[in-house]
Amino acid sequence: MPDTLHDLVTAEKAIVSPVDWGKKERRLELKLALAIDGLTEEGLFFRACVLEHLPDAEVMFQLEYHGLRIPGGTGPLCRVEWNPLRPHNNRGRGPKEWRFAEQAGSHYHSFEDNWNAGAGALLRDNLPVAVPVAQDIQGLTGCLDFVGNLFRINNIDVVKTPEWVLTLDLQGNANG
Amino acid sequence: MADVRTTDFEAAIARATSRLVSVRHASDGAFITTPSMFPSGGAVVVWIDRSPPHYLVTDYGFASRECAIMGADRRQFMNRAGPIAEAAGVTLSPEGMFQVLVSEGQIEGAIKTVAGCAQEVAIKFAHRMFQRQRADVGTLVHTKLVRLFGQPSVAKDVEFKGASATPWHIPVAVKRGDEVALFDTVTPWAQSVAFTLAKFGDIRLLESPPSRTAVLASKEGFGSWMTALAQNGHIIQAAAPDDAYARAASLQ
Repeated sequence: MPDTLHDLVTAEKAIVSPVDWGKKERRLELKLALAIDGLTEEGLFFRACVLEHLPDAEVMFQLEYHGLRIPGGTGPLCRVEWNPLRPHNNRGRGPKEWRFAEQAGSHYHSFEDNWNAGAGALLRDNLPVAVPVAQDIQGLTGCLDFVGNLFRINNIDVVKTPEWVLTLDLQGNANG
Repeated sequence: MADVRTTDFEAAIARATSRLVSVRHASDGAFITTPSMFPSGGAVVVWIDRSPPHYLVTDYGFASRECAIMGADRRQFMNRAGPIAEAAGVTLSPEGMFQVLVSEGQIEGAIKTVAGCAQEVAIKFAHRMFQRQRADVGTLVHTKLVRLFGQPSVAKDVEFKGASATPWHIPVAVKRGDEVALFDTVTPWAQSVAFTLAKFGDIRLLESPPSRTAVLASKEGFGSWMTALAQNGHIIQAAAPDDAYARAASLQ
């Protein structure tokens, strides 16, 4: 059984039960429970989020932990942002080469870069450190493969492609 | 030479400031990337909808998304976002978007205002998450001590009288025979630290004071408060191994 948040991130995991994407405001979201060694870990989830009207842009995948068993942080553990609309900036934190530098492309908020070993906890403020994704990711399926490897989710292929709506209605109504 | 340097300097500043704001046009409007940032480091982006003769400036729900990925549900987001929107004179849509309909002369102000609202609600929720992580520590400590010493020896939320006869609230206490160990969770805020110091200071003055341990989720943010806490009791991090808890419970 994992005893630390790092163990949760590095353990081989499996999506327990795939479900369809749900609509939340202007987003399509997935939140899936994860199992480690056949046991569903309380509070450990794989979350995915896209914007309903923007296919293949602003796509977010995240591991998160909301359990009480393991100390050190409740919330996101690591995150991949693929083709973001919004650039990322680490402020003055993280790897020196990426301090105060705009990251316009896909980037990865790793557990390691956001872990404060001295404090025994994740940095506050929602995984504030990221580095660019060097790999050229082709399409959502390619992105899922990439994320599956990073997050160690063995059956990430069970995640379906979201049903993006191509028309844009600013009142939030889908007209597709 | 001085002139060249000045020119280079000015050019560098000009290039940087020109990149502070960018626009991405779409058929129905435009995304404006602002210099503001969410706590996560993502830029605050606003959307401007073509609504002739007006302009609908919204945050496109990015603040709601930012809070959602931190764990906020819709109710938690709306509770925090509503007062922020009201104070700024903009509307919070039922789907959780900050928005305001303006004329051309008001666009800049509306962009800054909507971006500010989006940033503010995300900062507030990040702060709340940070506090909640600390609150979770009490539950964690209780669970750990029950595992170590058994349910009958561990009590939650007890009152313990100090030398002044003041009954102090103690989140978790272990009692084994005549030995009593008190555990208090502390967050890195002045009030929390001061309260622990007051209760442990009073209890320490008893003739046979019990063991007193301040439990921190992490050392981050405590600074010199660690020294102050150490003057009145032991300090342990929530993630400490079992033997550290066992020692804390047996040290008088």
